[in-house]
Amino acid sequence: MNILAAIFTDAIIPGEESSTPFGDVTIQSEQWGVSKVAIIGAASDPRARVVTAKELGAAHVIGVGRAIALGEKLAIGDLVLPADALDFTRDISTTFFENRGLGYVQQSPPFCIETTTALQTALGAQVQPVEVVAAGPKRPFTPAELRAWNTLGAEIAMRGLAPEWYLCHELEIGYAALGMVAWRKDEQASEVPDWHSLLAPVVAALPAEHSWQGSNFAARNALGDDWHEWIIPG
Amino acid sequence: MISVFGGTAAYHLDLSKFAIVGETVELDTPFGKSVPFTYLKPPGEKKESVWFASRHGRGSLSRSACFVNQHANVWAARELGCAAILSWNGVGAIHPDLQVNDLVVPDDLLDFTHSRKTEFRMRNSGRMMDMPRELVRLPFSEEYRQVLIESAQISIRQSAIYVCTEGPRLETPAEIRAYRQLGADVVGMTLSPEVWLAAELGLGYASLCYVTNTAAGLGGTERNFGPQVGEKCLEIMLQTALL
Repeated sequence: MNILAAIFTDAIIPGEESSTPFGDVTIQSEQWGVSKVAIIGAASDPRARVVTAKELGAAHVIGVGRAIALGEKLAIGDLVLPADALDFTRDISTTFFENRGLGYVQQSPPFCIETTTALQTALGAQVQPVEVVAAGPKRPFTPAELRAWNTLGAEIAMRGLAPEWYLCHELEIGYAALGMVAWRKDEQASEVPDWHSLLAPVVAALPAEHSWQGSNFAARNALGDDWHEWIIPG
Repeated sequence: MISVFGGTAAYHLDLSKFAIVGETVELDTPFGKSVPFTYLKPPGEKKESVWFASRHGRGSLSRSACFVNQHANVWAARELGCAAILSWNGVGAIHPDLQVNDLVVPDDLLDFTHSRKTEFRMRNSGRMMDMPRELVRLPFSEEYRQVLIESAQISIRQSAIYVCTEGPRLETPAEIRAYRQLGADVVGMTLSPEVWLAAELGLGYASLCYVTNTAAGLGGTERNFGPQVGEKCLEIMLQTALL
């Protein structure tokens, strides 16, 4: 199956099991209009779902999840599109290039411009751009952490973005994040976002090519153009 | 005896241009094998010598900063009889006054690594150390910092806060703004836990930071990771170590 895009959710989902060198993932394969997409659930090693997306041929990954509003301006149910990120994840694999001199990948900007633009274009006024998302660990966040991240510039906090966004960058897959505000000052959303209906027009707007394609020059120079060679442990 | 830990561009160096090259040893430590340490003796009458180690490999950058076995390397430096470690590291400039090719000797550190063990005792060494009595202390040895600053005989920024990130990915602009807000002047991926491990073994430690680029989101496209970075830093290190 050659897909255009993969959707990473922050939840465990039912679906077809797939094995990778980094563990198993669950996939829901779907036809959205003229494009095939794969919804890939949370995995214990985030590298598993990035490799799965790459193996399926995904040019883009959209990371979706529930967002926590850190300031005053956002309301429950708002869709948010971050442009930049702070990474507060811990004790998790951060690269495919362990024990090698590779992986110094630029993060300015952290999210793929073309993937983000497709989200912005397709969702229009439904989505609010936010400057900075705090990518937090899998455990619950504390109120003190939320205050600290807000002090450091974050407007929202989400799970499941890191290390996925930079692992995607290592394998030259465009990555963008989309959140729906589900928590704000002790108020929690009761509804689960309907990502399918939201993202169908986005997938239709995704370009087949993007600027991250071919961007990992160091890996290409050292290991060749076949990305399968890149993920072999060093 | 001093050990010199080389960072950016150390892997490009022809050591024989700088000193008489003696034996090279790799030590088996309780934490795994160290990188090769090479004995360097300066030409002339000086009796002092150093053990030189390139953290990231020889010939090419073969191991990124987060996968350097700092526990083994620091342990090996002590086993070789060194009293202190002088190191150099490439850094990104966060402070607006800093430019590419500037030199900085940091005096404080912010640790934003998130997967690294900062002590030997956490690595099952079988050799328990006393818990440090100090609750708060500056991470670098002031004595060696001053020697480094004085011996370099060039313009050096004499204090700075170094923020250490996990890597190997580079930082986002939002992260750099946050680090700046917290007081950081330069950013790198190397000094923690190296500086803590050295202190745990009673070794002095000072670092020379070479500004190789401007940090993400702050503008500036100039970058310098070339061989001259290693050459300049090793010259300064040897001047310092051989005083």
